[in-house]
Amino acid sequence: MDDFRFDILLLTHRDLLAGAWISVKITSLSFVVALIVGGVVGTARSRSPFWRKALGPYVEFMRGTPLLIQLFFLYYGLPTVGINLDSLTAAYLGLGLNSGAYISEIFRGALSGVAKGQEEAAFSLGLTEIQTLIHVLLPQALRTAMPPLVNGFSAMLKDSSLISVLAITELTRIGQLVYTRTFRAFEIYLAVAIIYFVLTYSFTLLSRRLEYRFGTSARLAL
Amino acid sequence: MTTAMTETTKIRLADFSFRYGKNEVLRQISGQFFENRLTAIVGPSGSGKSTLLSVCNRLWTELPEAKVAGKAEIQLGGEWRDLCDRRAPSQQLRRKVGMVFQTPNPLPMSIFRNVAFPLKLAGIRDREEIAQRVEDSLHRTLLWDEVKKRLDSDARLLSGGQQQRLCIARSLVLEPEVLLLDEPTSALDRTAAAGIEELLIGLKKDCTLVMVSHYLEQVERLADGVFEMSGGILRRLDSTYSR
Repeated sequence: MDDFRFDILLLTHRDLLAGAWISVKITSLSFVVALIVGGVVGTARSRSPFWRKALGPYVEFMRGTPLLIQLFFLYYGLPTVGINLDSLTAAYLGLGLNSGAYISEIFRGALSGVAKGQEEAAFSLGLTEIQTLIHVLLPQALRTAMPPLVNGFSAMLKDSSLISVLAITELTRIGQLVYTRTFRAFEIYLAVAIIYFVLTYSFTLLSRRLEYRFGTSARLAL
Repeated sequence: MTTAMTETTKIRLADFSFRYGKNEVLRQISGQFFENRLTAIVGPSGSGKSTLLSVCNRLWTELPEAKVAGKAEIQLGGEWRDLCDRRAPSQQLRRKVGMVFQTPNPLPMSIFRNVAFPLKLAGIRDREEIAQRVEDSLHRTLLWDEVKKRLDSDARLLSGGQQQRLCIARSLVLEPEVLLLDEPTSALDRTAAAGIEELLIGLKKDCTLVMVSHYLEQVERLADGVFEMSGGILRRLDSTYSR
């Protein structure tokens, strides 16, 4: 422990925090993509057998292949067929489409969990299918979906470290760069890990809080 | 029988069949339900009673595997509407044919919004009119005094009996011509059930009621006409409309 160089952290903490901020920003934007994709896919699959089958391959493929390979394919593979994505776009798409597959399952499960009587009641009041979804089913499904969605954000924040392979200077990449300047792997990577942990644990706590809060609401609905 | 002949027919079925997948739920049934009367449908579970109700407000069209044959019509605003046409728009029809389910199903919103919601969807924007109609509807279901001080509370906090009356109020606020009731008191205690029964008797002057019930005593107390459904066959039990 005598060898532990705390001063290295004092010298590099600004760079690391800047990288963390970029990670949070990229994760947030990618999460919006994931929410849109997952919301649409999950809702469509829960409403119609046709869409359940048609969109099934997307969900299974995204969940059945490594995110790293998906990122390589988007950034290095697609130019072969004439589609050139810059590294940030590839990151948003890669993280968004991958997480969207998981989120679609969260939405599908949450929508299936809404009592059948609610849908019948809405239709019997003269609501269209879209109105029933917007006003009755989705608000209830979101309560159930909120804690796993927050968990999904945490998972994506950790997965965002993979976009360092696209030369995006987010937290992991900054850590690597700082390491090549200082050669202090222990201190730097420990600091990077702690920053990831603080960020993800904050969201885990938020998820638990939401679980308790929305769990109470869900019990009320029974 | 002579009494029945003078009644105005509200819903009529002729050789009507309903199939769900491979299962024939209703088999060539015929019958008429009269205006401003409470017609009860009794029979064992799974015999097709609730299915018949879902035909009367075209709720069956939401089931992709459902198929119908024969004739089923309802008279709304003096005009006969085909209940068998899957492609016909159902939203307007359902606003005139309310439905109350066995289990109370308040929507996840406040007491006030539950009742005001159908009005807003029907395009009514005047806040005063909405407030007045919500109040009137809650008065009719004898719920106003119990909830007037907590209209903003979550409707799911009400007791079972109150929730069912709220669901009836929600249906009534659109001033339906027909109200379909699927065992409306089966989930309630005796006091709450008695309140609902009293309400139904009062409603007869304004709309046509078709009620599925397992309680023969209740049917005797309330119904003007009774049908029995058994194995998908509809059979008239009474010979005249007595009230």
